[in-house]
Amino acid sequence: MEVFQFLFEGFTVALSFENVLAAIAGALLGIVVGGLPGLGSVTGVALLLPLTFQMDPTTGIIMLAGLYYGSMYGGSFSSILVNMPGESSAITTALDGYPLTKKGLAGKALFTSNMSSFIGGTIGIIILTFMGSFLAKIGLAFGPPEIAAVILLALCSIGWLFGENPRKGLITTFIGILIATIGVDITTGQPRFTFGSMNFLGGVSFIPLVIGMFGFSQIIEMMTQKLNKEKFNKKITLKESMLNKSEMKRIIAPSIRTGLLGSFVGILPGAGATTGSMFSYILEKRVGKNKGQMGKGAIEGVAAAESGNNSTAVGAFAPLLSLGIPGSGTTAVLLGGLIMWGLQPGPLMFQNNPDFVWGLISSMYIGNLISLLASLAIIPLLIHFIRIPNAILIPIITVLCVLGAYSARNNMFDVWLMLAAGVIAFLLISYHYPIAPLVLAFVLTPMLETAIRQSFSMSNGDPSIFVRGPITITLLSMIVLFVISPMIINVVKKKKRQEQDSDFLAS
Amino acid sequence: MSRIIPLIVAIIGTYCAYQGWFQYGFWVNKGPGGGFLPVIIGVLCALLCIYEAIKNTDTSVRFERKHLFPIIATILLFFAINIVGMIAALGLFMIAWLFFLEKFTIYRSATLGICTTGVIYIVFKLFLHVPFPVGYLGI
Repeated sequence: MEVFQFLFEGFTVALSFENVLAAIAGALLGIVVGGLPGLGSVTGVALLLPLTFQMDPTTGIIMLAGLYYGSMYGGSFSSILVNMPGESSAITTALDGYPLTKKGLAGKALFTSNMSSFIGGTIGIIILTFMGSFLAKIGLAFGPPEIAAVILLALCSIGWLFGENPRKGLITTFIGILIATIGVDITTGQPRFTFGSMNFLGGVSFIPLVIGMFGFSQIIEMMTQKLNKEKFNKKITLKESMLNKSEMKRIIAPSIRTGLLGSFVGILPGAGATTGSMFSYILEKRVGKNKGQMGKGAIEGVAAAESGNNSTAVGAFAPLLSLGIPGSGTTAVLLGGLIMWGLQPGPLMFQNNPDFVWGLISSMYIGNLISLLASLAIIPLLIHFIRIPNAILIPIITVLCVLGAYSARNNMFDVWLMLAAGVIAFLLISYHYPIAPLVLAFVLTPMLETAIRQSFSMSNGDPSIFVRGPITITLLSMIVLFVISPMIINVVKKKKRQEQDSDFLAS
Repeated sequence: MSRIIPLIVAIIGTYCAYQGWFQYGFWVNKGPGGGFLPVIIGVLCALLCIYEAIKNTDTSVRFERKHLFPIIATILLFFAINIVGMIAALGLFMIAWLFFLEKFTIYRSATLGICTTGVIYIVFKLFLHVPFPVGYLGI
């Protein structure tokens, strides 16, 4: 009951004129920033942070939080419409979102994305309200060995789940891991695979890589697809874009289960919305009713990815507020902001600054609703965008690719990198190698490497640290169960079939 | 080509494993060295790619000359940025693409090119303060 009282007091703070205005401004800016390739929520929050210093801390953080989850809504738009994820967390949205656009169902994909983002975000906020500090403590049970096991499970799963040929999925996963090792090794200070280039010292930049692999490769492919434009650019009305009753039913279950999963992933230190959306997609691909269609244009895939990334974004606030530990890159920037405002996130924050904490949590309910309404309102405008003929769309997307790659670090080298990534991805896609595992492995590898090293450092080089705790044992068993068992079953099935064939021929 | 891709990746994997083992160190001071992941993944990648190259039954893919257009255009755009600066180069790129490749009229191409450049300038330069590179002409 105490929570309801705090929440009520929080709403009185959040519903003040300037705080509602801040939430609206943050959400709208977030949708724009999330939708623009090359700029993500981290950039958006970092750009807006200095402007909010003149505001009251509560108003400032409400605006920044609005921008954070607004960008989760916006990040899906470019993923769905042009296969160019505006945010790294929207990579998995593109897997089903873009095929839906190709089928002429972009409106449905956008609607699904917005509705499931809202459902996932709401689940995340409710969990944050009632169990935030409790969950944050569970998150602390995840030390380096547990984090390493979680990421290993994700890496083992992605190669098998994306694309038609698991072998090819695994190859691109390995390529992604190897690309992620380029740059100065943080532990030893040794440059790896830099070939003497200064530009590689900081590693391969994520934004140009993802823009090239998803966006530019798409442009090369689109050059020969102009004849299909009737299907691709067929007139879509807003009414047709709305989800009917049965479609709403189809997305509710995936949105709820991935919303719950995403909230949990959000509390893990350093996991972030990308990991959340990926795990959510994997879960749906394992247990979903329509799992066979996922990757080919299923609304369940969009729902899982979007609900997962929004709930993770909200879940990341739990360790930030309760323990002062950022759960993602964006919350790390927010932590810097809180400290500059003179606030000390941690266990005492709920006691010392209840107005601030509960005002922020209450504003999330309002901000989430505002983001939904704003995102739904711009669907008609976005529908117009996909009706632009390919002849005009191709040079516009090329310009956006160049701009996005450059804007990430204001470096022209990144434009070359984007171009190279695009050509390589085009060749790989042409030979049916899935690109998503490569990009996701690239995102997860630095976390994996750090966690492995920290684990060995803790155990003084003893590998048994990975089988000491119940969490790691469970996760490693899951790797064996989900990844190795299908291989064994396949081999056994093949052998049986061969035996049956030879028996048949002998008879 | 369907066999060349896995073979190239196998060579890259072998190179990474070799560098990881001999250059960066697999196990250093009771912990993983800089070559830990490159060695493990490089070896796994090389083995899997060799298997893929042997087992591969993909039919060859036909590439068209049109596929090269965006690549060449982006390389030209890069050089144009060095001369006239990014904002002007992007505008010229749009106009040239629409006029020469899509056969739009010069009036339509110029209108679309100028409008796109205007939006880019407002959003990226005025709103987000992205410092665009200036070319030799100082634009």
